[in-house]
Amino acid sequence: MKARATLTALLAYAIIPCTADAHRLDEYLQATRISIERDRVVAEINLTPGAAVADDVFAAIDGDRNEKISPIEGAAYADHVVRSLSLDIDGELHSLALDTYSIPSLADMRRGEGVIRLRATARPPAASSGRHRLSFANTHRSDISVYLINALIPTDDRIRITGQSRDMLQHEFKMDYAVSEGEGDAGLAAALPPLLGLMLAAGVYAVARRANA
Amino acid sequence: MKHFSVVAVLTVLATLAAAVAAQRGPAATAPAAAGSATAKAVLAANAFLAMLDAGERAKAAFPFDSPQRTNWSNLPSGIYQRNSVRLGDLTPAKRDAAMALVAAVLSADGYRKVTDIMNGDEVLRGAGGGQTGGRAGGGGPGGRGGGGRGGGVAFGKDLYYIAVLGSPSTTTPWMVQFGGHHLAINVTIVGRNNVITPSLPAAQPAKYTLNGQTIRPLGKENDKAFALMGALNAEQRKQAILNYRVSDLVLGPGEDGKTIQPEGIVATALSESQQNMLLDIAHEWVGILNDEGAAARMAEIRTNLPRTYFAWSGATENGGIAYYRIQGPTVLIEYAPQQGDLDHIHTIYRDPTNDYGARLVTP
Repeated sequence: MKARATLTALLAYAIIPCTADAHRLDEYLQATRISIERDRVVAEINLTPGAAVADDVFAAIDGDRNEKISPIEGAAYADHVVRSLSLDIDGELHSLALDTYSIPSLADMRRGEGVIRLRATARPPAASSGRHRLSFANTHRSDISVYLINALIPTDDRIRITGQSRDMLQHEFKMDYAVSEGEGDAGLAAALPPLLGLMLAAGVYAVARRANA
Repeated sequence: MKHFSVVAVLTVLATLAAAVAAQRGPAATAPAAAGSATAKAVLAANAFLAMLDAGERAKAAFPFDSPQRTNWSNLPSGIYQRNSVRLGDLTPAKRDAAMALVAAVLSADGYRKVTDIMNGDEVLRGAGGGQTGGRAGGGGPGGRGGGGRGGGVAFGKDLYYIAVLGSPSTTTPWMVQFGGHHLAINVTIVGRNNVITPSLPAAQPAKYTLNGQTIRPLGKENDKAFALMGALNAEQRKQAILNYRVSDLVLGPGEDGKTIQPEGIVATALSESQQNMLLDIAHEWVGILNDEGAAARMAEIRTNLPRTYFAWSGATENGGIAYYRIQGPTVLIEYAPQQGDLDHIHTIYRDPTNDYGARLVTP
């Protein structure tokens, strides 16, 4: 699992510039977006250390103090962040596994620009029809952090979010949702017209062949 | 028989083509009429581009589908690299032409808001740069910009950048991008239609004096919102107010393509006059765009009012710190004071269905 995370990180380093948000100073902003599917929960977290706390955050990552983040150090920090998260669905705990992460340079962090991005996924058993409650908490660096947690609108139209609540500082997040029966999957609706077209094509071809015979 | 086969094949092909077209959305719109906002923008863009030398043009002109499209931020120069042409590098005549292009795509009020934000940044430069709370950023190596303090961070009206993506046209898609510290304006134009999402107007200082006048670039955004809060009854407030602190924009720069679950009070729980107040607040962002484009976008927001929400976090008396959000199918607006500072405000305006003109551009 560590080798996979390291390889994923190496790929992530090649990435896209991290477009940063506010030029924060003495806070470590951790913004989480939760995506819920029937058999998967994805947490995407952007962590932006303000310029005044950048050295502190970087020091926690840079184990050998060479002012560079090695793949192993990056993986270890990302893993550490994920272990600060907790997720339960209907009272049952589920582990979040790190998928991808990227960590900016110390120079970017010192300017208040660098954004650490990570993505973690939990794979609970497929949710049954009915009402459910997801609870999520983030306790990483609560000494210097401010938090944002939001749920993305589910792409599966069988899932409907019916309520959300957070504690005052957004450490903890609860989301009530309902899962309904049915095929669901917006992709099927999108595929329907071409499928009908193909069926029509097959029918017309069959008729044409009979007429030509 | 052969004739029948040909007709059958054509029928099938037409069915498939219609199915595919239905999924792609609207085809390119009719050309914009002479005298329309688009026609004026085309003239201004061509006039600006024609004045540039080869080097400047290479920095100002991009293909429409260039990654430059999403290269914007609220951050100041020295922290964030903008790859287009900088106003401070242009002669006064070219700079005037650049600003004429900006004025051509915006409304009069919108252009005034943009210049108020830029003038505010000039005030910031004169005051030695903007820092909110805490201590100044670490020294570090010299940044990508010049001047300013804190290792290359710089402010001021010279450090706003302009780009034209695609060929200015009354029929095919193109874009005007303008921004710098605390400002990102992205106007996508397709025929007679245009959108200004995503865009980010922000301000620091939020209040300053210029030529004896008090300027508050985002003053109406603040005051109108508090007025709406003041107009809500206790039950409505209970629905609107989030019981948690919101410290920053949720869908700011870098958050393209995301849609969060709405919260707050739904617009159908507001009276008609309160709904009008809500629409008036939204117009502070939508109305930055030229009048024609803004009218179309406001019509969409009004149509979708039954699914539009207003959420609030923080103080409920004007003068206090508060975050708010307006969210509907075609609108996402956030207003977020930064780190508890009334003098430093970030906002964002998005359309989840039409950022960068997604609905208008034929793939």
